[in-house]
Amino acid sequence: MNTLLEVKDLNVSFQGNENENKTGNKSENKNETVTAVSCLSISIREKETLALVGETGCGKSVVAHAIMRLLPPESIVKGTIEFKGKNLLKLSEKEMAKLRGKEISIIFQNPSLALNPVYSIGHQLAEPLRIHTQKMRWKEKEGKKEKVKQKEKREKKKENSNLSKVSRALKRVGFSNPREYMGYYPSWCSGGMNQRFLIAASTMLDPVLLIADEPSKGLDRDRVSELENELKGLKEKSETSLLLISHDLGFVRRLADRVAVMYAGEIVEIADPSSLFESPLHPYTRGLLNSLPERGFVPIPGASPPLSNPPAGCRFHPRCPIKEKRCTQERPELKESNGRAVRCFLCP
Amino acid sequence: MSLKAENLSKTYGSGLLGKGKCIFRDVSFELEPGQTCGLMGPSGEGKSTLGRIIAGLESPTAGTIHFKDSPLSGMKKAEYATFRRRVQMMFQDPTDAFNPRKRIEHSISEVLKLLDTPGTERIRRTKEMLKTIGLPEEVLARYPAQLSGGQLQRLALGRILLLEPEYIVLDEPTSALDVSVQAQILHLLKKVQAEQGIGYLLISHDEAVVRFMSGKMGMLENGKLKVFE
Amino acid sequence: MMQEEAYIGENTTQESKIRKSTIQESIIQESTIQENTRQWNDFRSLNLDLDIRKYGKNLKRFNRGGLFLFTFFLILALIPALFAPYSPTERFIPYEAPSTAHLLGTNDIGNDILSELVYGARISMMVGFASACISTLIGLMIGLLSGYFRGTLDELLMGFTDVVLIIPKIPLIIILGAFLRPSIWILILVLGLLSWESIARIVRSKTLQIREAGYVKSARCMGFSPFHIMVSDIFPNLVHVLLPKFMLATASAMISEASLSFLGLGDISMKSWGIMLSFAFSRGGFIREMWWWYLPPGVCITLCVMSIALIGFGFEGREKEKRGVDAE
Repeated sequence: MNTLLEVKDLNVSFQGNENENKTGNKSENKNETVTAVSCLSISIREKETLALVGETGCGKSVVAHAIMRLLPPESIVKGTIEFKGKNLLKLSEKEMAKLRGKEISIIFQNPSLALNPVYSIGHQLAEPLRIHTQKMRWKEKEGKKEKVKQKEKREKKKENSNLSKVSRALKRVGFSNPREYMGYYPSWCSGGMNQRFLIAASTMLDPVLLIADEPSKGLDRDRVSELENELKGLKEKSETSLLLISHDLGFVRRLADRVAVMYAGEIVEIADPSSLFESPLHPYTRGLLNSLPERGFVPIPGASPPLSNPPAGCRFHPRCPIKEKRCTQERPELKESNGRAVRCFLCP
Repeated sequence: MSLKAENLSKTYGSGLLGKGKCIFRDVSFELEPGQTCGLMGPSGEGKSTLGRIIAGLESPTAGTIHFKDSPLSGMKKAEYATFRRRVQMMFQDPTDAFNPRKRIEHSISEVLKLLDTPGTERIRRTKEMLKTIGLPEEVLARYPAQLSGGQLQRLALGRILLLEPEYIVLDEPTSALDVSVQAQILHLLKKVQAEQGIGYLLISHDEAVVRFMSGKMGMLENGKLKVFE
Repeated sequence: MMQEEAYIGENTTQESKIRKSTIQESIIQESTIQENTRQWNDFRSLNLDLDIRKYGKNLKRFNRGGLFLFTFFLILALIPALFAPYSPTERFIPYEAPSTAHLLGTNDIGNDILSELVYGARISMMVGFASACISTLIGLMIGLLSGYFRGTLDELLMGFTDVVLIIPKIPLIIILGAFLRPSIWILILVLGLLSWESIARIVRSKTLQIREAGYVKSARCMGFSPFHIMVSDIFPNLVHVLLPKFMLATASAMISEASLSFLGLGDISMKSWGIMLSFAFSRGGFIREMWWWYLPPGVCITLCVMSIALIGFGFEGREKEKRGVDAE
């Protein structure tokens, strides 16, 4: 399998106050830099589901936004994000706009906020099609000699085909009567339905990479399992790779092919879900798993460090039960061995 | 010494036109100090409404709440004031638990002022409270937006504890938090209960949380409450 | 873009060599249409697509200008003696054209117009601010009460608001002015008492929203009195909505004052800019084309109102930037 997306040494930092809603660690000092993501390297292969797991404020959403290039202009992004051999960070805004939605698309956290309440579902879902096919038209001019009238006809056909594409996409996410739902408005539908509309919208153009940013947040139990089935179906039916960002460990376990655990802006462990959940290596992962309900809510002592001022050495050492002297001084590297990677001195 | 709810019903939107929507009917249960009662059920079934009614924030359409054997509706002003202090509620979203325009210090000392605590005593009690909830004193000088969800939820609990409550209605206290923070808060809640003998009504959609916390469990479904031990 | 253009050009020439002339024509036609569309798109993206960020910056610059102008007028109003060359009641030769002695000439009774203008700032601004204070206060109280307590009180107060809302303001003041002795205080009172409805409505809707926030709910739970909750929890979160509204109310009160004064319903003993305009009109300023008489007060009113409105917009914009949402 080929590598689709390769993120290498990604560093994202924000200056001053701009990040307050992003990391929740707003500092009083305005000139302080907050490094939301430091030295992050991940790769996603074709048709693979990679999950990014971590607590609130550990910078996982920042990674998604960095890949989509949706970060505020004040942020400083270093490193490379290679998508199909192109460095996304070097693309112009226009080229990026062509990629967004077509090749890479994203499902945002809040389904009812991501849809515009004044347009019908069908209209909104057809919008990305309209935009992206319009752009294509300049290119497909090659040696074509149709008359202007024919062009108009084609446009009408295109509009129709757009709508049928929308209805097909809706059918795929489990709406038996898509034509009816296309006339609906977001406020008529439940959160779970809106979530499915969004999934339909983001998968309609058959993106190669789909980023799901906390898709299960704020949804009920039932809705979460519905969503899970949706994403599972998507994985089976299409060729899409999925970058799943979540703090819901159970959800991740059932969906992911590989799991990357993030702590305080770093990846601390990458492994496949079964080995990660059964024999976690990094002490943070172990702590995280122990605080799950099925393991009796054993909490990790202390709190995550502020990203504006991470501790020296291993970032987890103030909360680590097995720390040694060198953990407080040196920073461990991500070590790879038989398919797993851990950022800890004490783990093999 | 208990908090008792008898035949509570709640109907929304009942007026001259139409009958309105019945949320639940004839719900009765009893809460003892030092005991946790879990309340579960799918969302939109009125768990939170029931919690708010028990905490006295809303009035039921029918039925009564008895606090220490006297009904809430017939209470005198002084009696109601003690009820108001002894029965507290903790909410789901810690990020809006504190006034965003005031420092934590202000929000905390306001509560102590309400209790007519003198100045030096106020500082002592604040420090004591911070020790109980396990937060450093620096947090006092911060604004709510500068603290994490877990810290804010601890402070929300701490602020309630200053009032020395006998019962706390916990409305989804951990569902907005991360798993590791959730574990911390649940342990803190247990610790506080063991120390001060507070009765909890725990509203949650997460069965594991309810099982971990409580002996008694109730299920609110289709407007009826089913209780099982 | 350039590449694409060249490519299409090449394409057409190649095609034209092979194909018949009719098709050739249509291709050229099509490509020109394309060309035009693309040019239009380029033009649009360069000139018409409003970049929000750029727009915000411009707005900020405007606000600074507004603040500067406003401070200038405020200083004029607070210490007029510093700027006015003469006392506004001192008499010189009437109907004089601008000169070094009288920069803006003199009026019909020989008062120095520049001095009158400077002293008029205080009266115009006082009317604006005093009536805005009254209306904001009333609006705040009614909005808070009806938003916090809801129910019957809410319906009564909002019904009352609706009644006040449909009273035509200017005609009422004209009638009142005809019956009562024209006085600046009556003007302030009437303007203040009749323009609080929009503030009340906004405060109410915002209060309804804030009262459901966790901190208000827990304050109610902890037994704080409604008054305490309104003052210390709800009010601080309303300030950012109230400030711009207050500024806009000031501006609109100033305009109302000017128009009423112009209609001759102002207080002649306290010469505001509006009254100056009125005098310029009735005492022959317009007929004699003495622009230095009627233009400056008009310009002053416009600039002052604009500066206040700009500051109001500035508050709103800053709030939007800070919270990422609409201030209302």
